[in-house]
Amino acid sequence: MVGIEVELEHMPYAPQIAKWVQHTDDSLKVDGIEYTILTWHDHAKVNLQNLFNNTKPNISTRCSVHVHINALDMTVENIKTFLIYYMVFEKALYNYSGKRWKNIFCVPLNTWFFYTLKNITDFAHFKVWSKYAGLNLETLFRHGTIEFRQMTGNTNALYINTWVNMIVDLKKYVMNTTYEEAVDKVLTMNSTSSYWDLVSDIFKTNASALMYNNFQKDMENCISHVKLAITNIISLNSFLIEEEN
Amino acid sequence: MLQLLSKLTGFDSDPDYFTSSGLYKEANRKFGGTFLIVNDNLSYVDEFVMGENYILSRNTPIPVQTLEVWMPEPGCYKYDKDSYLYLYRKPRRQWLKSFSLGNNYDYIKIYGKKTDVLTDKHIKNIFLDWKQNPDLNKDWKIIKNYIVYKFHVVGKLLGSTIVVLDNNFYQEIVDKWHKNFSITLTKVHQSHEVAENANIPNW
Repeated sequence: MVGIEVELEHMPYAPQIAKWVQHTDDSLKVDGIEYTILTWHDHAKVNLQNLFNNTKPNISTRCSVHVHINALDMTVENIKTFLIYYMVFEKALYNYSGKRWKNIFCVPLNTWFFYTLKNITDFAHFKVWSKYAGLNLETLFRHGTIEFRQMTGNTNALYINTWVNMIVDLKKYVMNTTYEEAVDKVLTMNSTSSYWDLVSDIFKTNASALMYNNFQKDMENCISHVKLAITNIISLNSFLIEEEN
Repeated sequence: MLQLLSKLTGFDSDPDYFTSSGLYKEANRKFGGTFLIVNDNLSYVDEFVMGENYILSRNTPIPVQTLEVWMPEPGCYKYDKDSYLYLYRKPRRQWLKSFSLGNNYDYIKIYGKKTDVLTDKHIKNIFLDWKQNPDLNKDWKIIKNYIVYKFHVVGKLLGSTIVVLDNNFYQEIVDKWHKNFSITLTKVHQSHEVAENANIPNW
């Protein structure tokens, strides 16, 4: 099950659409409004595209599209596995969803997540998660979901639908593998062909949407980061050499 | 100045919607207490003074010709002579839109005096290091014969050989340094280099 929030501006006469709920949002200006739906499906996609076509909303940098996937069926091990695969593909996912790597409302895990995954043993560890992370786990406790905040505001329901499908693909893959398998995969993945194999295995028909010039380089960088999270970090703490003189 | 502030706050797409006082107020909310690139130099911003073409930076007025946000990529940066840190982002204080240490950025000291407290001068040194090549991936650095990935020591230079200290990063070291060094997997643990899970930042 997937829920979506779509933020729009220049919507002085925001019409009602079936199954969608309207909300005000303080982060939006200029007649901003947010449409949400609890269950994304084909009719919702058609209705949303009709709304875009009929109202011609303006999309500023303040607008975004947030996707929530149901996580009530996920264990802590599933979430940790999800984190591994998400971080491996994080740059590619940001590239698809609107290149908001530097955005302060969806900070990528590759730029701040240094916790050792094996030390996470229960959900309480996620309670202090910041909602402004690109992958938001704070919603586990509010909605029972994982929130993806990366997507830029847009008026293309098909583009949004592909993004949703990628996220669903990722979760399906995670639910059919184990944390140990994920760790093993990351630690042994070191060739271009292994990257292609993994992206095809996970994202199937949507894999081509994740391809771009820097894909391989970005995968390499993300994999190195994930290695920090899945191995025992030899901290530099003791490497700090004082030069008091 | 209004044009600069309008662009900086992201309200340039709706020029008729905001008053000039509203723009100054929004600019101060989003950039007061941050570092901005002012006239190609990094400056701490106390505030944009209403109706004036300057900023107050540590109580000193700086006339403004250009304004740019500074959000450096995380990486190993030199902050003083022979002193390095790993700068990373913090997903907090979402309304601050440029560099603000402790709010949207934090750091792990890699090498240098333990007693150092980061000052404006240090942050300006980080800016100069960043400015040399803003697009360069700064996750890898050789510091005092150690190969460092982010804040993690993964190898040690011994003459023309690199001893890999964390075998999980063998492939990365080979990819980056095989042309100039022979690389050995012999794992050398020296007690002063190993401190499991120390200094892990909070998210």
